[in-house]
Amino acid sequence: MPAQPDLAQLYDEHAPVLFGFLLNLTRHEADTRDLLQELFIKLARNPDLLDGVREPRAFLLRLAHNLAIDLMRRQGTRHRHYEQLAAESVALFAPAENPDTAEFRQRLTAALDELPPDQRAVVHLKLWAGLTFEEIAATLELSPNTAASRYRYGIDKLRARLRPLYDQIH
Amino acid sequence: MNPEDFESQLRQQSLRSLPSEWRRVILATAAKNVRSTAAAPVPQRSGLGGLAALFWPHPGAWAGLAATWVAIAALNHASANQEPVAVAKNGPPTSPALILVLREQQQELLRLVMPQESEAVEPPSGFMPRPRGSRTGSFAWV
Repeated sequence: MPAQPDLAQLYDEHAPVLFGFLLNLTRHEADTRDLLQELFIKLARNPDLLDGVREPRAFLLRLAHNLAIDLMRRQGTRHRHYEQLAAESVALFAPAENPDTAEFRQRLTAALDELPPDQRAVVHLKLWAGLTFEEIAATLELSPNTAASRYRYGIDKLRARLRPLYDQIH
Repeated sequence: MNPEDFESQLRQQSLRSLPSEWRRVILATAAKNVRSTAAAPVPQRSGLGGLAALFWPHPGAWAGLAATWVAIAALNHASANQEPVAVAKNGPPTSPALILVLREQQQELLRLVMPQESEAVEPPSGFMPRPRGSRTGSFAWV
């Protein structure tokens, strides 16, 4: 019988990154919690899942991404997603005391939501999970070139969307 | 707008922190799943496990069948208890003379059934066993 992974250690090391990624994909706190719970249940039920995995973080991000995609398919999703976003504004970034920073984060949250999920996932993994294009490609099961082009498209859209505010602040 | 500056600016935006109260709930639920998986019994195909596996797909149907059999057995038992009572109540009273006749018939029947056994038990009337030395030569060598 394979040894049970140390779930508490895995949680402490990787859950914050998984949380940010899942929250950016789902834009719903309860869904994010459910997916994080589902991921750890999966790890508990399949102790050999991490056997031979060299980069646990990339592997867990891939699991999280797959779970999020499944959830969005189940929920049938974009209509519900936009309605939900209209009803509630999920806080993706930490609160900021500086009003300019607070506004920039609010606009950035909205701009990220306008990205297609595949571009948003790549942008998130590159900027806030610190993965290379090779790691992103392995995580999302893409080629590195596709990962890089999706990132470039996503960044261009964000820049176009945030340029006025960015120029104003700087 | 310098692209690298813009990306750096985005990277500096710190994400919201993970709610601390989730840790306990998520890990406890995961641990429950570990225990339930480990404690799950191995399915058996013989003995009680096999019976359980056989009955499990349609427990309602099997329960109904069992209830029907119990009802039939109860009815059968009740009717078996009532029959002799009814005969005794309805039959004529037994007289001492009739009992005597029945006993004689029973003894006669015993004599007819086991005549050889009673003869075999009775010793032959003219034979008296004697010691070996006092026997006379009442038979000849052939």
